[in-house]
Amino acid sequence: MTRVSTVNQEPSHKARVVTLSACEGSLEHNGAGDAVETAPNGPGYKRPWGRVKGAYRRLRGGARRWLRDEMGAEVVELALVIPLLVGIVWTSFEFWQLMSLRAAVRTTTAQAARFVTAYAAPPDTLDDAMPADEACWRLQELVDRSLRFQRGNMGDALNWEIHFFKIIDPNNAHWEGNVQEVTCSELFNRASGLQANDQFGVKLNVSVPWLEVLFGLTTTSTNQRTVSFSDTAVGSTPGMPYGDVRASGRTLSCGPSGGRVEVCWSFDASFVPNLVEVYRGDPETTAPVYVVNNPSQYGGCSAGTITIPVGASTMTVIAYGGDRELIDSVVLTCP
Amino acid sequence: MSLAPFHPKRTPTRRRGAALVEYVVVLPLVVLLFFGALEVFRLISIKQSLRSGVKQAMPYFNHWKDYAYQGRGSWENKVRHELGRNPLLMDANPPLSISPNAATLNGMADGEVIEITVEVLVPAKFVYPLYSEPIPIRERVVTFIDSSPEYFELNVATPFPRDPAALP
Repeated sequence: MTRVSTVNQEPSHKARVVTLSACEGSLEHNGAGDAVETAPNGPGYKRPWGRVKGAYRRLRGGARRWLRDEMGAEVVELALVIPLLVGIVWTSFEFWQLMSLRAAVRTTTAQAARFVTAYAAPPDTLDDAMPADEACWRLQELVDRSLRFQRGNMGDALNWEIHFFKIIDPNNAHWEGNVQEVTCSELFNRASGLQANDQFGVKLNVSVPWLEVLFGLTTTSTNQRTVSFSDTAVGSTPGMPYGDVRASGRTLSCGPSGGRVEVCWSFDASFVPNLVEVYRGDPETTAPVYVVNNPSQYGGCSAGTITIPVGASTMTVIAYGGDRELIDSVVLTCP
Repeated sequence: MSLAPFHPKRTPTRRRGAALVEYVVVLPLVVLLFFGALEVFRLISIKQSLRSGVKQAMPYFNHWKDYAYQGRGSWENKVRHELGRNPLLMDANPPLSISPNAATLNGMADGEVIEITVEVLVPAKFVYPLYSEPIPIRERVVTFIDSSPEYFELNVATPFPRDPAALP
């Protein structure tokens, strides 16, 4: 609707009629006076300052209307809330990833400890156990592939390192001061590494750049802040490893020219060699004096007696899979 | 004078039935959301059962070179048994694929890393009219070939474990 406002009615003045294209509200706000120009010092004259004030009033009125207008408020609220909502959902997802990674770290640490238990302690009499360097790279592969499944959107940003400890005193429940950190090669070393009944600890540290995890940002050289997880597993090597073979001898009689000895042997519950031989002297240079093919799984003794000179010894050898191992030596001693 | 049905001045003042219209529009979404949530819960529950089954079957992979484990049953039975305990599966014999197989394990060395992958195809139940394709649920674990009598070149024909009382 258009309303025409004619304020100054005197014909002597040059009144200009201003058309206000507005509704009634605009007229109320603006008033009629600021819409008219009159001659200076005339009855209806308003100084230019009035126009400024009028413009200000219009501006203020417009701002008030804009502020009071609720059209589109939902859209604005939505625009404000959506980034927040997406952020919460995304962060929750990333925390779920972190918790999943934490569970993976625990599982992987347990697997690594089990690997050490299985391969660190060689049987007493066998020398064909896994070499230390092979055990180490197999263990490294185990950890790496186990964690790789859990990386998710973390890409290759995952870093891990594993530490090994020998527990000095198994009867001491404290960790501090009771462990000695060793390298993987030292742990699997046949001579100085873990022996039967030894206890050990495995500690796995995993770190992820947190910006990359939480916000998916690419790792940069300046992004050094990481989320780290750590887990420790403690284990022990078997007290009687597979393949443990025992042999012992006793003196039955003793005389000036020699005596008789009996040799007995026993096997671990899961090990039976193919052959047991007893030598009178060096197995490499003498013929066996007693041979048992396919011995009983429960062990046995030399059925007869073996006569040897005083001070000499019997050598008991087992054979399995093409290998031969000296397992015991009995020296004839007379009281 | 009456206004046209969709005249701008008419709609703000005539709100009768609006709630019904909104209800009709929203109801399918709410129902879909409800059954969708049920379906997701069902799948997560099956995933947990599968994880439990794989963990129970894992020793059969670890000790594959120990013949005693080979003769005591199959890993598939372990996984199926655990899945069968979940009433939400609603399928007595779901398609199951397990890797690696026996031939692959036979060629593995002692201490070698095994990646066990078990996948079960689960048909959707609660949202079946909307999605009828089987949904694959996969579980993967990493472990290794454990030491065994064969590792020590032992006589693998020896039963294990033996009766401890029979030992000397």
